[in-house]
Amino acid sequence: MAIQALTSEEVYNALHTSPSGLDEEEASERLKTFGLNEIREAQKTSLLHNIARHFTNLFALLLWGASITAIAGGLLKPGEGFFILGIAIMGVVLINGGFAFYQEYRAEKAFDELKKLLPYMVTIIRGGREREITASEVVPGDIVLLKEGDRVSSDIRLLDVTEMKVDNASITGESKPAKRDATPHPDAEISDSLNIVLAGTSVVRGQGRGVVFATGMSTEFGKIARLTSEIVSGMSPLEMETIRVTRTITVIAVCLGIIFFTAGVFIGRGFWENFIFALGIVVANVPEGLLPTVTLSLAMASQRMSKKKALVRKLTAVETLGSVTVICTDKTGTLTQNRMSAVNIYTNSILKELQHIDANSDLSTMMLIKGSALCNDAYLRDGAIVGEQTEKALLEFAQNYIDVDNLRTKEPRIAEHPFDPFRKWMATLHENEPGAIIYVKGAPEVLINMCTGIFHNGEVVAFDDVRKKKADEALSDMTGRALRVLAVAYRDCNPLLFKIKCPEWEKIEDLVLVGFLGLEDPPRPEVPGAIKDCNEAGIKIIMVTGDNPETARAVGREIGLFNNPDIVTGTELRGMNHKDIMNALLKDEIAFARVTPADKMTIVSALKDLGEVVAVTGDGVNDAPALKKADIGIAMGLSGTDVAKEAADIILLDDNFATIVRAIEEGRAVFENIKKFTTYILSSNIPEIIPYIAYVILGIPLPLTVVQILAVDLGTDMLPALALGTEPPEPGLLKRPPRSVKERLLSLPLLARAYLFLGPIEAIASMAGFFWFLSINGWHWGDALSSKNPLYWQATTVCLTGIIVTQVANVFVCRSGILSVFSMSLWVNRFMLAGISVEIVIILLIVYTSPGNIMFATSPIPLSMWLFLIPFAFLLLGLEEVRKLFVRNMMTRRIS
Amino acid sequence: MTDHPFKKILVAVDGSFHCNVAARYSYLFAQAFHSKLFVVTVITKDMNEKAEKSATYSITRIIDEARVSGIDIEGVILKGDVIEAITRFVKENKIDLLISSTRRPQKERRYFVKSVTSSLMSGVPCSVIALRISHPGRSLRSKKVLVPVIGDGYRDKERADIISPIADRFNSNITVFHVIELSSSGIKRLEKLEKDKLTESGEKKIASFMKELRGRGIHASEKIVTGSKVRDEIISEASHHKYDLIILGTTKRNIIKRVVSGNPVEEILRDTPCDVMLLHFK
Repeated sequence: MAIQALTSEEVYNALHTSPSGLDEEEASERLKTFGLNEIREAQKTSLLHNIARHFTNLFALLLWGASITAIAGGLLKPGEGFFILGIAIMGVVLINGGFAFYQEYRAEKAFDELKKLLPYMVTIIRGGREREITASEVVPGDIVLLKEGDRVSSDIRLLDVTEMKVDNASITGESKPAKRDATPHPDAEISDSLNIVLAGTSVVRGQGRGVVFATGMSTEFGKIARLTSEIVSGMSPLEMETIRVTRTITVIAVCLGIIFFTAGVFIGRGFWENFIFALGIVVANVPEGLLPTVTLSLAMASQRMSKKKALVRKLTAVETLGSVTVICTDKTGTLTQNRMSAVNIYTNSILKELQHIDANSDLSTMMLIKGSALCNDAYLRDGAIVGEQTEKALLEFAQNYIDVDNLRTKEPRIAEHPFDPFRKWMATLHENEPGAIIYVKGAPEVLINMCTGIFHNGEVVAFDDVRKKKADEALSDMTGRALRVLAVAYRDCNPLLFKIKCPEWEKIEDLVLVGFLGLEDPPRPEVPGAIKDCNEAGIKIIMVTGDNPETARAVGREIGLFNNPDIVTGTELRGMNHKDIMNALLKDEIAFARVTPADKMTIVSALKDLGEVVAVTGDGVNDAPALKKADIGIAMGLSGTDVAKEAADIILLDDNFATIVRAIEEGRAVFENIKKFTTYILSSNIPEIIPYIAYVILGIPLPLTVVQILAVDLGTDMLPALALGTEPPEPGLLKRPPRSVKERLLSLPLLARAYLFLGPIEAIASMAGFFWFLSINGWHWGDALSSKNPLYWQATTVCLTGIIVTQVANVFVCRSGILSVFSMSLWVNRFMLAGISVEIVIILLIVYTSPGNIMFATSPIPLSMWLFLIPFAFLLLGLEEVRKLFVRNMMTRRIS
Repeated sequence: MTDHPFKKILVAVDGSFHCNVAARYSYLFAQAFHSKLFVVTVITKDMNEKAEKSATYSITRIIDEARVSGIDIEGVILKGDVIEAITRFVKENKIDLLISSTRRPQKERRYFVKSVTSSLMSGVPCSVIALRISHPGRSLRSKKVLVPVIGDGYRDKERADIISPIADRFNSNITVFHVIELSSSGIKRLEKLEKDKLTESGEKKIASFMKELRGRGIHASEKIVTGSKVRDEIISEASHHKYDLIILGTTKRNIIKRVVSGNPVEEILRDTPCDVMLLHFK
């Protein structure tokens, strides 16, 4: 039962209905069975659930536990600072949860945009009576009446139509209205058939009556909605990595806490002492500042991207861009400028450039001009041409030689067969001097087969094999020059019959070919450079275009995308199985031509099954599923529909391919920067842990309190870390291959550098300062020191200051893992200088103001202690320079 | 009569649109297996006169249609409880295959679990085909058929037997679909080599079924994908590639599995954009 192939009677029979429609009882029964005619969004987790998730993960639960224990400790043993500590830890949980939610959250509105395309009320016939019902109550078998301006509620097989045209843009992506009829079409597919109107489309002209055969999520529109709403992009690589890092470090921290707590019990320390110690170990190890820093870094990168005309809709997309291995891109408007203009014509068997034509003396050229002007829906308004790009170019061309308005008045349009993307031509019937004439314009490969004659020097001659061969050669020549080629043909009509329907008009055939027109859509000037960058960056570019294969090939060659690609057409693609598609995609040079937006998702799915990280561009409603399926969906800001924009991760404000490449570079820089500030943040964990270990093992006063650790992790470290997140891309970033999905943020070299090299230097500085200050103030090894003793406060302040001083040097050091600090300009990252300034101001406030002293249990320290600690910063700088020199030499040796 | 195990086929109807479409599917099998077809309706106590008439008329209409196609058909009207009456008839007449439609009796209720068809599936001693009609525009024109293979092969031979007449009649493109379930983060971490290995293991799982299809002259294509949820992948595949029919085998999942991981069959029936044929062999 191919509904489009059936006669009206068979349609009624197949759907158990009749011209008077279903009766109410049957309609109600069917409504129960088929459900409401509405698109349903896939069940999503609620906003509240999402928020709650970020406050109840392993990391958060651990901190909640620590916070509650500390608050309880504060209530049981007041005056030890437990209460403040508990509140501070709670603050950490809230800050981290808030940032994680902000990073992940994006209001999903694509589905709402899709819903707007469906009507609210529908006119139907039930029980022989015409009535209006809400669209959601429509069921298969209902007879629906459609008129101009109606949006279509369900998939409908037309039974009667009068001059009906529908806008199918939401389903096919085709912007021109398509004509509809009610005759059976046995060879067509449902979505292409002329006797079918689909949900989500609209009637732009005429009226009709049809029977509903699919409702709700079973309609073609419902399928797009389902694919758009059900595809869950899941976590980005960075989200997964951040979770992994925090989870790993949290587990390590808890284990260390338990080990040292148990050790404390064995050496006979009291519960509270052990508790402070264990808590200190946990707090010192957990990178409390990592998630806020990552989020803020991504937010700043997205701001930089928006300045480069790439609007980021989901923060984590920034970094995912850096991992992209394949970009599937549209051609028109993205690689090219979408500014069509005629450059040459083929008439009288000669291919001529425009500057060489003489329209007045050449009848064939004049016929081509007239055909271009009349078989054309573009029009003039206030001196400007309004219409679709190709038609505008044709009208511009005609305007150079004739008065188009005058011609259109003299030869008015009587009827038309609108352009159909599957038929690939349009035709118009015009009244003219002897009677009437039909002009046809469309794809040359189709029109050539509809012509039996050719217009040659003012005469119609047979379109024989010799002339066909010549025309084919000209066509190859034109498409080989990256031109979009259109053919124009005509046929005279019987003058007596044209006012009633003439047979020539009813069946368009036996045409006379006038010639071809070559239209140029010049590439965007930035594109060749961007393609070169992609090649060097190991990113494969796949052109996915609705244009013909030869034009795709020529444009691709012109912009340096490929030399000799395999071009797969949409028809071929739809005939291939998944394995064949994957094999085809493994080829170095491949492009897809004459594809529909729906084919894009097939390509994206296959690429993802090949393990690629895919970015895809799109602008239409039915590009939405592909945009959602891809790792990075990129919508066109200028030409894109609202649905596409809502489904995308990134919106290109200038529709330009080069912008994607700039955004990828920024995305790669983000991951590098995250590594930089992770090194920076982890380095300070060592001087935070060592005091606790020394406290237990050596029996000395605790050199650093838990609140002071938090002052570093969530206070002084934050802005410099953020500043490292804004480092500009290092030279040659786009010359490296894309980051592997297996590459870890916490790699062994990174951990070794932070924990075994930078961290120990900082620990030496802070502990040396602590002991030096105590010894010059009369403390001897083994002396007890009360936590309320001002000397103890000053000593811990020195320890804290030691960490900050060396962390200042560490900011400079972490700007690169290889390059010398002295080879990098200070001024390219002014935010870093501001961050360091704020870091210094914070420590000065902590050390030298009463609120700072009260909050962090500190006390002012003399200038001499600063002078004692600063050389350690230079030591760190110097040793790191030696390490970097060693690494650079190793690399040079390896390369040579 | 035929050598095929399905010598006697019963199609249960109640006058509804869905049952009539199910009956039309039954002609296919009756013709292919040269089986005798029984079209049965059950008049229940709560049926009103109109429903009774509609059910009876439905039988006459189906018999007329089937006879035009040269099918040996017999109409039967039973009385009493639907499940009991049909089960008794199946036992008494040694029916080999029962065909019925499954539909949502009430809004928001399940399609399949606790439906008449699911009760029949577990109660009757013969194989059962349950049909869910979702897209009347694509019914009985199964050009593109999706055959998901969940887990290891399930009655490969019998399933191929059912697919064969459909493929022959509609010259269908059959796609055998297997989903390798992994967590979404696990999928993202997979590299090509690992994916290739998984695809290979998937191919092995469907190999015997593919062999059965090839043995019947059906050149099916295979598609192995990784996904976090089998149900999502099947629905997504059916939506994207516009299949006309999904043919799905169903076994009795144990209660613990059903509670823990839900019932994918129920979910597929609820969300399918095309008709579904559920196969349950005995």
